[in-house]
Amino acid sequence: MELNEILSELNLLFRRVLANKAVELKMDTTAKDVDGWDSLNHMFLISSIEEHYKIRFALKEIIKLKNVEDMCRIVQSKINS
Amino acid sequence: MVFNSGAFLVFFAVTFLLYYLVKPKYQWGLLILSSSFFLMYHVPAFMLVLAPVILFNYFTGIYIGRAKTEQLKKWIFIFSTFVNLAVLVFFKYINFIIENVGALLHLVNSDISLSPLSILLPLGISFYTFQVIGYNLEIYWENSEPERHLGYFATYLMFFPKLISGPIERAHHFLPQVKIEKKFNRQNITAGFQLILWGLFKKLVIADRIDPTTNMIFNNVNDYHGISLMIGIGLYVIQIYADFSGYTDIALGLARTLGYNLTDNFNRPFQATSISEFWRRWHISLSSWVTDYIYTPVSANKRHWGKFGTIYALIITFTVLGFWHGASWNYIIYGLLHALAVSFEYLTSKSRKKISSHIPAAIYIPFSRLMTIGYLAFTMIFFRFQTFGSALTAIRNMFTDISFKIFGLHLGLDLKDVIIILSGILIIHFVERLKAERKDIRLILSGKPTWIRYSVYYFFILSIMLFGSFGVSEFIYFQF
Repeated sequence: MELNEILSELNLLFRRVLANKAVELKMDTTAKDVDGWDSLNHMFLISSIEEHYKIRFALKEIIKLKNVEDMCRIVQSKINS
Repeated sequence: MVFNSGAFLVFFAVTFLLYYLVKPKYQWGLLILSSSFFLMYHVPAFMLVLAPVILFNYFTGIYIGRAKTEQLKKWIFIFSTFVNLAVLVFFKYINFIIENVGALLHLVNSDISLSPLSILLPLGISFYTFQVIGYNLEIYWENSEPERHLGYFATYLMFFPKLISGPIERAHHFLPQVKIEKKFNRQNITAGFQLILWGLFKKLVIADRIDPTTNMIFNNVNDYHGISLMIGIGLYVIQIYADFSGYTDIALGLARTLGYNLTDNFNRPFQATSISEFWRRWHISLSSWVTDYIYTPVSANKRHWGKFGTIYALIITFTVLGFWHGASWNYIIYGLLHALAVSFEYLTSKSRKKISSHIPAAIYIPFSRLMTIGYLAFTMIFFRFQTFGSALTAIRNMFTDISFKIFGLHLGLDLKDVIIILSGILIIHFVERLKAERKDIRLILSGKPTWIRYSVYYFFILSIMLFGSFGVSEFIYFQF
């Protein structure tokens, strides 16, 4: 799966989880750029991504996430492996 | 040796002079010497706690970084955290544990009696313990490399401007600064002294002027009711902000004169429209520490519990945050009350968003701010009182005998005090508002002619000399 495909899927997922239709994710988007993406909703987003792709992040992977691109890359590496 | 004492003035003048006289590559050595003197001036034995903590964590950091397997890294990290917490528990919480175990034994009619130990709380231990735990965790998570220069590492933990009451600095923010040789830089030194002056203004003119009133009210809580107690707790909120943010400004200012940038702890906390937002603006170096090192791993671990996982992580995080302040059930209650508020805000965020869209912002925002400050003030009752009983008495008395007369409340404040406190609050509000609009008053001043700059300095110096309270009182956060 290409990174851009994952990005657009994550975008839909974020809109649903955050109940915010205005979310427009880019590769360099970080939590502070998105209304409602705070530390309280962060893990909710992570577990939604895990459910969607049937994958599981390790704690260290979650901690190292800095932006949307990191998320996309981890998802890509997990679903391709 | 508090920052606002004559002894500190002499100590700092000597340190400052020597700092810019020694070869820049040995400045860290001078900082270790002066910081040791600063700590040992209080009680020499405090060094016998700090020095082993430094050595121990210097090596655990290196061993975590060097460990070949994930499992070994993990075990060294767990061992280091266990030892660091054991030291903190021994010095800070042992008598709390003895007291509570004793009470339990008494409940089951046991004959064993436990007596409290006579231990002095080493200054700064809560602050440096959290710094070393965070340091090891960052290496374990492979976000940072261990520091191999023992002198630099010791400077990170000992640096006297932040040794006693923080900010709780992150190693990756502080250590690179130690390695830079500092030249005498007029801009840094001016900015530093401006911050010190600003901090002294908050501490001496506002916090210490309120101090006798809050002490009088809270030490005689049985004699006060209704509105006078409410004013008392409101004043305490202002006092603790002026005191702690004043301390932080002085710490940041001292560091700046030596060429260091420390993390600011405050960002207009009373502008918060929720308790969650309040914690992004209040004691930021502590709240971000518990967010990164407690909340994130716990909530990640329990993410499959859904919303309960988040609430579980919030309860643990705020309990630790409260209990960090001191060995008392009241601090735990303080933490739990904040966990309750943040959980409530989390669970109702969607419905609150809906409601707010129907109410004009000019009404909704000030109302939310007022509610937030009101709740914060309520939790502060548990923060201020030593025992659960006295906190309950205060709450009970607060809601009995309510009359709305403002005069004759016996608050120990005369008209002059009221005018000085109110003017001080207005000045703080004005300066902070400018800063929030990216018009930092210090930047504005630097572009003005000398006579204007000096008029402002003299205004603050004279205000401190004329209206400051000089009973040399400690900063509230020194006790933590």
